[in-house]
Amino acid sequence: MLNNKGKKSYKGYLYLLPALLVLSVFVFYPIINAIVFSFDETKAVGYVFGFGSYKYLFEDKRFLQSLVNTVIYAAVVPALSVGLSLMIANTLANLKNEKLKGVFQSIYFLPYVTSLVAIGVVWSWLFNGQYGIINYLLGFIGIDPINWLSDPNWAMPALIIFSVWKSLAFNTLILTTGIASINPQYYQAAKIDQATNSTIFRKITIPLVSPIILYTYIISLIAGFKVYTEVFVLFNGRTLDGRVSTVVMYIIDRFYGDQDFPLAFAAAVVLLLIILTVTFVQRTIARNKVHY
Amino acid sequence: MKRKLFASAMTGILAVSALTGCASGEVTPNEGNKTPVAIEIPDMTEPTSIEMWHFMSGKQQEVLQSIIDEFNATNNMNITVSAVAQGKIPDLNKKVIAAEQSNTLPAIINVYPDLATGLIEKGAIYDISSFASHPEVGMEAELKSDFVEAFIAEVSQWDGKLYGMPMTKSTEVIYVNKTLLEKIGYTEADVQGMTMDKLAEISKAAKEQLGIPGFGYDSGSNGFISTLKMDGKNFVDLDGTINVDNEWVRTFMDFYKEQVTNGYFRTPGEDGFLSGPFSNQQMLMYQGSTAGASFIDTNGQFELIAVEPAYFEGKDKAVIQQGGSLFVTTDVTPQEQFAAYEFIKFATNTENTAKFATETGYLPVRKSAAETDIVKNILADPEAVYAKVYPVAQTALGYAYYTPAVNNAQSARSTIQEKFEAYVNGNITDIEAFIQESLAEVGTSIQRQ
Amino acid sequence: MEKKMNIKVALKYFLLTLFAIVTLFPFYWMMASSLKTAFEVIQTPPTLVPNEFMWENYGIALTMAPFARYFINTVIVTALSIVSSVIVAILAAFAFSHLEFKGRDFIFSLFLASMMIPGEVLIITNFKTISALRWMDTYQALVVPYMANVLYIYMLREFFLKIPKQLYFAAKVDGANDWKFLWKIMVPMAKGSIITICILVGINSWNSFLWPLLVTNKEEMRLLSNGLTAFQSDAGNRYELLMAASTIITIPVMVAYIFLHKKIMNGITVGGVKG
Repeated sequence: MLNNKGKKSYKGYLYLLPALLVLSVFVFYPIINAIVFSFDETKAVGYVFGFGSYKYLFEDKRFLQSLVNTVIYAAVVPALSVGLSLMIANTLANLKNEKLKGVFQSIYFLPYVTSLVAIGVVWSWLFNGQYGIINYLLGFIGIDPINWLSDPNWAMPALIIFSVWKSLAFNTLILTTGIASINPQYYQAAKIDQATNSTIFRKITIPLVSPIILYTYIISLIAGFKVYTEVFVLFNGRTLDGRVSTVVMYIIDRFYGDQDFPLAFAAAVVLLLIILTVTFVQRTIARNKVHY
Repeated sequence: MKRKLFASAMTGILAVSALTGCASGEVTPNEGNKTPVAIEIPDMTEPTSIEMWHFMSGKQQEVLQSIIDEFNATNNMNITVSAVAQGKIPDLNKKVIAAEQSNTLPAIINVYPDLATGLIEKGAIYDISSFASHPEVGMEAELKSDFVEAFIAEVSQWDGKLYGMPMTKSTEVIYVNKTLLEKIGYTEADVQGMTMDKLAEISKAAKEQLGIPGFGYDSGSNGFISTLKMDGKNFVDLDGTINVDNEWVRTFMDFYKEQVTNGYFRTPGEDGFLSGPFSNQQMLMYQGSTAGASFIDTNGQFELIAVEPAYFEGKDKAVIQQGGSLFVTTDVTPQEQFAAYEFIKFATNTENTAKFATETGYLPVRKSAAETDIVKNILADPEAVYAKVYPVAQTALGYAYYTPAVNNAQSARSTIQEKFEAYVNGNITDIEAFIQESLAEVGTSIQRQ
Repeated sequence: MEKKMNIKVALKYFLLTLFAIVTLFPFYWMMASSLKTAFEVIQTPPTLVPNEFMWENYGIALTMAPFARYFINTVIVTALSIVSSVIVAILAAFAFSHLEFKGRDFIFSLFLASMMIPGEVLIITNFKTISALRWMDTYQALVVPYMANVLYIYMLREFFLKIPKQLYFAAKVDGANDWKFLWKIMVPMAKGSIITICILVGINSWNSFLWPLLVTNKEEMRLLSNGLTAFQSDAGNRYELLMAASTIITIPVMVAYIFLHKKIMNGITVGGVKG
């Protein structure tokens, strides 16, 4: 028995070997490096241990502001995106017309395909306060023009709209795949019982795809905490004096702008700890609700 | 590190064996700095290949390539230069920072001086003054008399050494829609050498008669820094002092804010560049880089003129000169460093700087470029935008300043850009808050060492 | 009852169509902009349809960078990335879903945690590693660091877990070893999700920008996304050309997706045998 377990253990690692090898060199090693150098007190050559960077970080208003923005973003975008994707994926799954289903699925996936640079520029045109199509359409329902990209109060909503639009594609694809892999027998049984669509959705679809829902949510959450490119392309590098600054943006500014590696690493470690805590809590809460 | 030690040892030996003595007298020991005072020209019999990293694209890249091709074909030292485009400026900077960390910088990098400062502190940039002052290959006389003083001053601001040579340089002018200007009852003479009060007066007329803002800074940070300079102050001094807490800042910030609030001035905001609204005749004038002239498209609808930047009555005139310079690194062999110097000398000679500048929209780095046929021809062409910008830029360069190459000045600049926009647009309402926040955030970049 | 159903169905189609329009519109705008003149593209108010179709923008855009070479590289790197990432993901996902070994959950948590640090802070250390390995300007520098992606390992693990354990035990009883079971039974059953991962890996490597820029110095080694900077400068952007180039870059991926999309769905139907 013992022998058997030992053999199994070895086998598991064998399967993991390629991933472990690559991750060790290109992910774990640089992370350890980042952690070690976040405690470096000197920006020059050499190493002096200390907590100076962390201390500075929590006294830096811009960092705290970036942290708040990031938390707001991570609280809103993943939930909104996964929720909407689930509804879309479910609606698509119920479509009888296979051809139309394929067309819709392809269209919805489009935002994932394009690089963010050009599409970010396009969205900044659509959001334009004076000539943007979005304000034009809002005019029809009697809403006054909004300075989406200049008014600090509207910048975050604009960012959220753009990000949800962009992230729906991935989530919808994964959830569609998840729903499609549910055994049709469940649905047939439910139909025999004359269950309504919404009952089927709640009692069969959701529980059965719950691991996939959790997956998309966790992935979106992690991506949400790491948001940067979306902000950069939509606002063309501006942050409206910090109103849409994010933690990763702060990290990049310190890293490449200031070459202040200890401070950048410290901010990255703080972000890592926050995401770890949040995902751990999420997974613990969800553990009881997810069915395998 | 090994490479650097090697380079250091090599130059050390060369310095000792050099015949000419120490020119500058006392040499302060500077760790990581392997700059010899005089140097023997390395033996160039073996072929030498060097790389140059830059941020140019499109037309600029083409012209650069043609200069490189000519150099490769004509130099008699077996030198081959190849240029590598490394994306936009922030991309290039990332690449340079990464390469510096692993000692794999190429022979030449085309970066802004503030990035170079960090590299100089780490000993990654080679002082080319040893070549430049050399009796055979030097160019000392030209550096003094022919190169634009402000450009050279900028690259020799570190203890009098010469750490680079200017290449992609520009200054700012005010672009004016002459057609609209005349429509509201002013003439070209009114905008020549105008004061800020005059600028505000004309802008007010534009707002009242045409319903459009009269003026804006394409770069709010340049506007802020230049206005500070009009009172003789640097935004950030070389020793890291940040000069934003003073009465002059309070005065002019309120002036700009009033203009913006009234709709006489505007900021680029979401438009990014003011060349867009200006081309669409939605503003009368704007102050922007001479290198951006080609992005103005009059579409045949109006006449464009360029004039000198406005100044405050009783203050100095001040306009920024900015751009990338060519720096030689210490990650390569002495042969490669010398090859790099030779190429830079070639690329910045009178003919080439004239050619490069006129075709890219940058400014020639030598005054003698004005005597070349290339420049004369383009100035004779009444249609050329460059012809309108060039003479004005030449005048402006007479009083142009450079920002002290404080480490991380670029971050400091983007911070003040955002603060400037936020204040004049009313998103920061209290001037004291503006000052304190600016001090704190610029301090993160400049003063945390 | 019947009528109510019809209204519901109609509403469903209406919403799906509306949403499709919202999704497509930015792309329409991108393509329309790619056909405008330099002035029209920044003209205000903007034009919905280009005044005249500047097809030559595409020609100009293509000459501003060696796009043909970039295209070949991107295809090579994308293909290598897909094959290597998928194999690595399949092996790791199988270990996490079907094999029992000491420290499994801990390692899985470690894998998950590794996703939580922004990649930007890892880049310089990785650059040094690539440089020390003398991998600059090589395909392996572009492929290897991203071969093991936890995003896909995690995803595949979830799909593998959905495949009933009884199958695994039955196969064991029949004398199949793990290796055989994985490739003969698991992989065909998870075909849908594996193709999905292929698509995701492919798109990411197709659009990758910063890393290729850092680890290559030769034009001949660069990728399509690197070409997009040819239209942007510190003094202004040539939007019409940027849009044209972006359109060209997007089209091959879109075609590949539409082609593979059917395969995903077929792969899934095959997979859903038993609950």
